[in-house]
Amino acid sequence: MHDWMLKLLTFLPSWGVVFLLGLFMPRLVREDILFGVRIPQDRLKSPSAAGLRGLYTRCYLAFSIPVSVFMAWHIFDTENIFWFSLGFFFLLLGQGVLYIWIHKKARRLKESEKWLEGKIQSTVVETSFRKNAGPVSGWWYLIPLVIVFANMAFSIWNYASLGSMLPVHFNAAGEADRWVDKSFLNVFLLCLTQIVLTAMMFFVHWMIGASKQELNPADPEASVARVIRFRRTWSVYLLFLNIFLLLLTSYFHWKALGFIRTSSSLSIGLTTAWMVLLFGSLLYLVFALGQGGSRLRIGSGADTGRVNRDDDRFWKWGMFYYNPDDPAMFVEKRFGIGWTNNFANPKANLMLVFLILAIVALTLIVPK
Amino acid sequence: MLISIDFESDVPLYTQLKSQIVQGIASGRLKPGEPLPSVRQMAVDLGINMHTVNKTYALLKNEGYTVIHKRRGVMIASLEQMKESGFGTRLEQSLRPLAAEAICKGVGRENFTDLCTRVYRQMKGGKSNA
Repeated sequence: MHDWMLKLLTFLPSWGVVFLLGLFMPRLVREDILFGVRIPQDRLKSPSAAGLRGLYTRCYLAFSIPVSVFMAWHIFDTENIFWFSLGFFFLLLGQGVLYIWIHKKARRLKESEKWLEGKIQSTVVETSFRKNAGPVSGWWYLIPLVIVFANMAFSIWNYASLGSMLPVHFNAAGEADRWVDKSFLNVFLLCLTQIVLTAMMFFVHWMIGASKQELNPADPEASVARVIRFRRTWSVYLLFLNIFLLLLTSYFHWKALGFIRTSSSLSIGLTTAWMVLLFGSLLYLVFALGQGGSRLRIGSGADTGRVNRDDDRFWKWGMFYYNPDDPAMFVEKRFGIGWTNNFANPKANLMLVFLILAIVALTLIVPK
Repeated sequence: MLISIDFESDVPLYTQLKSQIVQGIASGRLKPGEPLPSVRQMAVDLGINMHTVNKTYALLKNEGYTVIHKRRGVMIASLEQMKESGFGTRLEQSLRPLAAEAICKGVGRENFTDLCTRVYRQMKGGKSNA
């Protein structure tokens, strides 16, 4: 196992996800959203909308292919991670700038072609939505909790028998190349990481249930079915992700503490399998479901001609939702997959700050 | 039941919400004993102020369409509970302006009563075009 192969294994999947999501995002969003602008769904296939998508794709490829080549060059060329990271940064920055540019064009297009004229704008809700469409029961999170606490109990049980130095980093050949003094913090750091990870996953699980139900008035019945499938699938996926991640990190923890002795090829094999599984399933779900289940083939494709309420004024660049009159803490993203804050809601903002602090704190205390 | 709210309409949001729920009960899409979302949940999903939903729910409760259950929250009342002896007078009052408008616009008596019958039947038959 060469070092560059390990690097490739680490960086190729994340690059792939970022590249593919950026390229195909205009086709993954809700059926009545054009680059973050609310439009009647029958306009999505209009020549002017298709023109904008074409422009986005051409510009996207024009900047992201050279940047990707630059990144690939540096992954093989040097040991330095800086240039690769810089490339990544420019890839994301370019995506953002391009999106905002096209978003503004889409806004002007909707205005000048008067797409909303003569359309009835309405908001549709299903009264029994929460009964059927919640995420899986939160009790399933007892499984991750059991894993975390078993791990902790096992570490406490064996604390005395540990050597005075603990390996924290392994080279490509699987030999420990960095050690730290044995301390309570160092032994239980992983347990702490696992607790924070599980808490974060549970937060997202709860967020899915708490977020606004957003139905398409053009075909409300089919829309309910799509949104239910979308939420359920992601919440089940999240739970499995949590469990897999805990098992994998526990394995490495036990190996580092010397409780189990396995060959390094098993570790590399497990990591590889994990990477393939993670990014493969992630991409599959993103493309199979689409945002809000928009890519699911449910319903007859009926169109009542009604459109969603024009809420563009609450969306800065079609990215940030700010609506003080809306008690919702979380809403579906407009240009992306998943959910985002109502930034006019202090409680939701506080939670976001906590989440970021937890991640930062965790990266700070992990020994380098 | 699917509820549809029109933000461009002159009819206030709380009135729209109330009449949609009452129509849902009349047409059988909302069954007695069926729970309604909490005030908060309804406001979140509609993206409107909680006071607006509160107003609707207070009206529904006062007029006997819903009851508050200790554990299960707001529920559709039984049809027996909804009955109200003095309602005839109120109905007559609500009909007066409609009849007046109909006369002014040249809608004949027969036409007027036919329309009433048709709307009533549609509602009972489970169809309501809100």
